[in-house]
Amino acid sequence: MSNKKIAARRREARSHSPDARVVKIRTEGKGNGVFKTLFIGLLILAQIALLLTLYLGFLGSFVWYQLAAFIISFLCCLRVLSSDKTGQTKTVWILFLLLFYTFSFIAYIMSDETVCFGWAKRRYKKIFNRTSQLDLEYHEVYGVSDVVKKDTEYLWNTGNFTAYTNSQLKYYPSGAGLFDDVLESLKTAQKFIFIEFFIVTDGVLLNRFYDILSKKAAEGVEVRFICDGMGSHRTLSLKMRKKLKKAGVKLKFFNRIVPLFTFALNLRDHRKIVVVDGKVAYTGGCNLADEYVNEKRMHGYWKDAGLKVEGEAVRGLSLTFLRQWEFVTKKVEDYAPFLETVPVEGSSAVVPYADGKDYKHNICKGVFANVIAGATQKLYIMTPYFVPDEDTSNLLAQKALSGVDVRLVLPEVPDKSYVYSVSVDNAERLLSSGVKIYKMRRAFVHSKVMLSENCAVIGSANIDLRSYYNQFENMVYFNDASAMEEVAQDFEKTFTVSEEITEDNATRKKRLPRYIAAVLRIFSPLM
Amino acid sequence: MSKHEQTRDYNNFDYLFATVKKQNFFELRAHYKTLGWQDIQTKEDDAYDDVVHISLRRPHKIEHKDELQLMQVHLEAAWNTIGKYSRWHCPKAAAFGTVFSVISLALLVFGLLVGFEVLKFLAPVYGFIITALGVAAAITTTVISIVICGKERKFARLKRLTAEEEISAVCAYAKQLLNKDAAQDGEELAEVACE
Repeated sequence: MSNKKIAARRREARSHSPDARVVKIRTEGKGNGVFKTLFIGLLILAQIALLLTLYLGFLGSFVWYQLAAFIISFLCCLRVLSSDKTGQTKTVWILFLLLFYTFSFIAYIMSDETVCFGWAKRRYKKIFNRTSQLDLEYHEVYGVSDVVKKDTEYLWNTGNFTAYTNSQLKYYPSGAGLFDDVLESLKTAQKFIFIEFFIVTDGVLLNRFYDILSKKAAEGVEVRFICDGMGSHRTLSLKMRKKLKKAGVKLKFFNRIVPLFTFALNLRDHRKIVVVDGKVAYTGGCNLADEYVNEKRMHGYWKDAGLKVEGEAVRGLSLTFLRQWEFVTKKVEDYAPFLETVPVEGSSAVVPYADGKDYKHNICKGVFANVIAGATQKLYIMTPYFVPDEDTSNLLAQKALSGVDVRLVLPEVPDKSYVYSVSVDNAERLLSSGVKIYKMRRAFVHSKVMLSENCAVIGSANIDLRSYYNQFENMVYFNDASAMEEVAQDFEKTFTVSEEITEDNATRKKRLPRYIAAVLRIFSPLM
Repeated sequence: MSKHEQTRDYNNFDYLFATVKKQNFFELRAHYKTLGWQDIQTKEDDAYDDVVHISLRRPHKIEHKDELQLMQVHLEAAWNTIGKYSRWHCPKAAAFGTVFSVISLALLVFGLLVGFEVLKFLAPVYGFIITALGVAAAITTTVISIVICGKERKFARLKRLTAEEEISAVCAYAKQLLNKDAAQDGEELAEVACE
């Protein structure tokens, strides 16, 4: 065949794109630090390989080692049994320890809280002891229902979280609306700006932040910025980090990824907080990345939610940030100048609270359980992941069976297919109890919202075991009527653009997805 | 920051960069306009003749942004459904036809070889029976493939129709949101027709 013919054929072949899509949205995001991540990953793999080689080539062949390993694994089993882990987690650990007793105890000891997070817990304890006088005295909230009183009491008893009354709230049903308001507030900053996010990604939104933050830092405003070391590891470029630091922004990472095989990698800061001058604060499900404001298309429409807090309640969010700041910077300072607030008129209870290894109790789990238990008429939940423990699932089923209108909104488009299949399976199990399940069409629901007729909870915590037991989270509990009405309106609107899942169209009806979910459920504590 | 990013006024505008099929370009552009987008640049693709790159922008603080964003996702998904079901109608029929055609052909060839005593481990009469089976299998495969294809076409048509209805609904809702009057619609349609 002549060269001309070959060229003509190539042109012909190129004239039609192989992509069947009529429209494809181009996003300009790119992964940063690929080589660094690969390098760290390889080093961690090398350490695991070394441990295995040591075992297979040396220790495994000795009878005394086998015997010693069995005894240690058995002792670990006893420790698991006496721990306050959930029944499911205990079962998984005991199975793992007994089946693979020759090496499983090493993994158990490495993941043990005192070994893995002991250093962190000790530092948090110091910080909390030093700043405990800043927690306000407990005062009873008047003019609220008994359920709300009990909930505020629970929050005080578990983490000294105060119920503030002179505060106002505004609910945002999307990331775009929330961040527009955040940017406007940042422009008014005169003293300090606190920012804490799990994921910070290069892009349009961060550029908008950078423009304002650099200007404010130049004006002498104290700008403090905490990102999670894993969440922002590959998304925040070195160039942007340098730019922010050069502009005067104090940028710190929480628990950076190090090339060391340790379970401390599991310790993540999932909080989302912005505080401006102690006057206004924001929280919710949104991270600082373009997909959260739908500037970048990742999983269909990105549904998120956020909350603006004004007045005395801002103090709670500031205090949570300042303690985390002291943890990451290791610098002791006086918090008082940052805790001054401007009270606004309000009578409802607003309780900003946090959870993580810095607290003894599983506060997020407890508050979710209290809100569910307190509902007598309606209970609406929006969550991207639904991997609760047995207690929460049973409570939801019980509420639905008692006649409470329990509705759960999940995404139709998953971001992580393995978590999604377990989430859907867990949710669909509740159908028989009368829980209504909705999937928002062509959208990824990332909002973390719970609403009952008594109160609402919004923040960073998902209904999953990672949020319950592993991550640092922050939420706001409130019974503000107007904000609750805004939340209710958002739910009603979301129901109309969602598909209701019934027993007939449930994924669980098919055997294969059910079996896949059953296998994946074993790993649910890691999801 | 890329050179392209530097020229953007991202504080006042939102930007959208899409790759669209040439044959649907004008319709899609009109639909994007309905959602508040204005095209700022159109560029031919370097590799393929049937796609065009379009850059659009709209005011950052446009009213009903959340609804418009959700509508846009629905619009694009509907368009892609049309693309998917217009391009390849009968994948199942084709797969079924290919597999069973090969089996029929194999039976036919094998039967003929046995029938004409090229292969001698079976009596010739079996060869003719196998050949007849091969022919029957070929006819059945053709009939079943046609039936499956018919059903698939019907299904594809239905999907396309649903997607078209969704596009109409999205555009109508977006117009309602942005209060676009009939005159404006007329102008836009005329513009599309001219182009």
